[in-house]
Amino acid sequence: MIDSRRPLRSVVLLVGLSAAGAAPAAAQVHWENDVHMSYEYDDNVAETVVDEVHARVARISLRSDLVWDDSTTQQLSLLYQGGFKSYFDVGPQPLDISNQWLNEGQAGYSRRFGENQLRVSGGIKDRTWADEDFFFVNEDGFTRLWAGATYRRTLSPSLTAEADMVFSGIDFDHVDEFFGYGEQAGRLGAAKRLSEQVVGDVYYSIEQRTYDGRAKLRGPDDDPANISAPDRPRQIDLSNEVGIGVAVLGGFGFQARYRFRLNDSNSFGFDYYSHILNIQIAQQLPWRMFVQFYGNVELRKFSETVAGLAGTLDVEDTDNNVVVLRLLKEINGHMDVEARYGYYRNQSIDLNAFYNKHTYSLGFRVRP
Amino acid sequence: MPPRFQRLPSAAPRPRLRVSPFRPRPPARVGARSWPRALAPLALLLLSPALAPIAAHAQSLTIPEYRELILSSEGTLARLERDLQAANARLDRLVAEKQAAGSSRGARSRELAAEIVEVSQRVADLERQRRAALADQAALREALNQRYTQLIDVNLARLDSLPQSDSAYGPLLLETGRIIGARDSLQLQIRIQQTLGSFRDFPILDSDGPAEIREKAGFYRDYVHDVAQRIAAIDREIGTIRERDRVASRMKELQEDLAFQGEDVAKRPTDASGGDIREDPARGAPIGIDLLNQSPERRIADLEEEKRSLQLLRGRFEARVREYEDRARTIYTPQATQSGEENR
Repeated sequence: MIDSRRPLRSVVLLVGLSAAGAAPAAAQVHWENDVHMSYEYDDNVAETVVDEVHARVARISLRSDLVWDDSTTQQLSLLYQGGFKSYFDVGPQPLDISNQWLNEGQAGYSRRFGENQLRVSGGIKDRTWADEDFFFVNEDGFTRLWAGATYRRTLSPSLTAEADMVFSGIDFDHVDEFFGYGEQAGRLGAAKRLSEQVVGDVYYSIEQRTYDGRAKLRGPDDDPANISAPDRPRQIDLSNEVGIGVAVLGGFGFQARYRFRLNDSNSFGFDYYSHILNIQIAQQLPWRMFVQFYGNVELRKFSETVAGLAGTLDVEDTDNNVVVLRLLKEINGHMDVEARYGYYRNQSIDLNAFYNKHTYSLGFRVRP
Repeated sequence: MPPRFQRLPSAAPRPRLRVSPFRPRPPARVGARSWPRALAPLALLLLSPALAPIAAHAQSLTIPEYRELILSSEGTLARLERDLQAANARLDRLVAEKQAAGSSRGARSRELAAEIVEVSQRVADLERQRRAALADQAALREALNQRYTQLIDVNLARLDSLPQSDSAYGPLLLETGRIIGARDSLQLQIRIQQTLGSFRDFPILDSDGPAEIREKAGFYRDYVHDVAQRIAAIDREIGTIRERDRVASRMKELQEDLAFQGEDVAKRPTDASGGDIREDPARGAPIGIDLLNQSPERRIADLEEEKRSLQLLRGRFEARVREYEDRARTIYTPQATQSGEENR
């Protein structure tokens, strides 16, 4: 549920349309659609440390990407993604898992002014369990709104610098009291083409999150239950992050990114730092096949421990430690089949406890 | 009788060739029966100073005038090639007739000798005109290329100084894009012409025996090999561009899929190279840079066009190899003589 406490609720998401001026005759429209269906075995659908529940999951998703480009100075893009997920053969204990819907829409408008480019964009993403009373703690229904602007300047044909700011907020259907937040973030970055196949980039970002449902904990002796106290100041986290990335593209693709994140919270127990490494590799194989690897590792260290607090109340990306392997075969220019394996070792709701999860899926993708 | 190849301007670059351009040409054996043909290259050499490019006085021409001149030169070249083919065919017939007449000193033989001299001079004259036309065309194309570049520079500078709200901005931008496209096409033509010009011709002389003809067939075989190598290099380049795009698309696809199916991570308005692996720093470049950047699709189209030209050339060289080998095998057989005469 979206309420008035969030500073972003009044953000207008579909932006910039009025800025579109007269379009030259060479305007082009690209519309790409992609339907993806998969059948998956998941050995820990509830993402719990103990009493794991396994299930088979059928997914279908649609991606529709519409881009209008006047070939000169303006571009407008609209994106819709929708998905549906259904569970079967749940075990070892019988459990009636609800179906799930995912919907996401994005809109963006770019305009170029000589060497400068301005882009404004916004979006909404919603995850809903068909049974409104159903949820997993690690997979609750939510609605996220975001909007932002980017300014980019070309310093040379192969070097750009950019600054962006984004406002974002998320409301969870059942656990919003502890996990919902509003966020403002800014970033400065630069990207350089180092050679025909290599692009590198660096950035610095600063981000502030305000947890409207959480009260500030004052110190090691404070009662953790006070986190729900309504009359205390709210928890506000300020994080600074630097990142460096490189992408190498040819018949072999490689992308790596290292991030260092330092989180400074006004609430006791929530200061931490993280080293995050993300790698993606893709290799073409004979017979129009691809093999891909996606991996993410996060080493996070909290500097203080809140004694007795049931959970970390960590809402950071749950993909802390992930390995995904994908083998894909192109049947023709419009259809692929793929097999995918995923291993997740992520932070659970319990403090310093990680759950393990394996997924095996077969699917196909159609691009009409 | 095989049609004769016209010799291309000697100034054309030849570094691409692996063997043939650097082999010494087989020495022409000048005999009593073939002297008119053997003198043709000499005549060309003597006449070559007359090949004056016309572009020197054409610097002030407008782009449409250059285009018109190039079109006109293409027409002239086509006409010259037709005339040259006809003159060569006539020369072949006369030489064959004179050979058939043997060492006869009759009136017909003298007439034939005179006609051979006259047609040889005509061939030499046409060859000279053709070389001059080719040189003119190359000079015109180069001049037009320079003219395009000057105009593009001027337009880009004007675009930089004009506010986008100016009514002249949009039309000027589109016009500049069109001019850049036209220049790219012209540069492709120039490059193809240079490639074609790097190959020499080895016509069979009447004095050539089987060994010489086989050696010339070997030169063409080398050409086939060289052209095939260039075609293979183009295929590799096209493949690299397509591979890069496919790999980037697959990486982006997986990233987006995981993001969509996965957790509720905040979006950024744009993510540098981290958000979209296909992003290029040149994206969002100022108009000039952006217009001048060749898209992968455009680059592939250019390479495909160059490849088509080379495939045609390879076909011609392969046909020439087969023809020369047949000729070398049958040159002294009665069937060959009969067949050759029937063909005439």
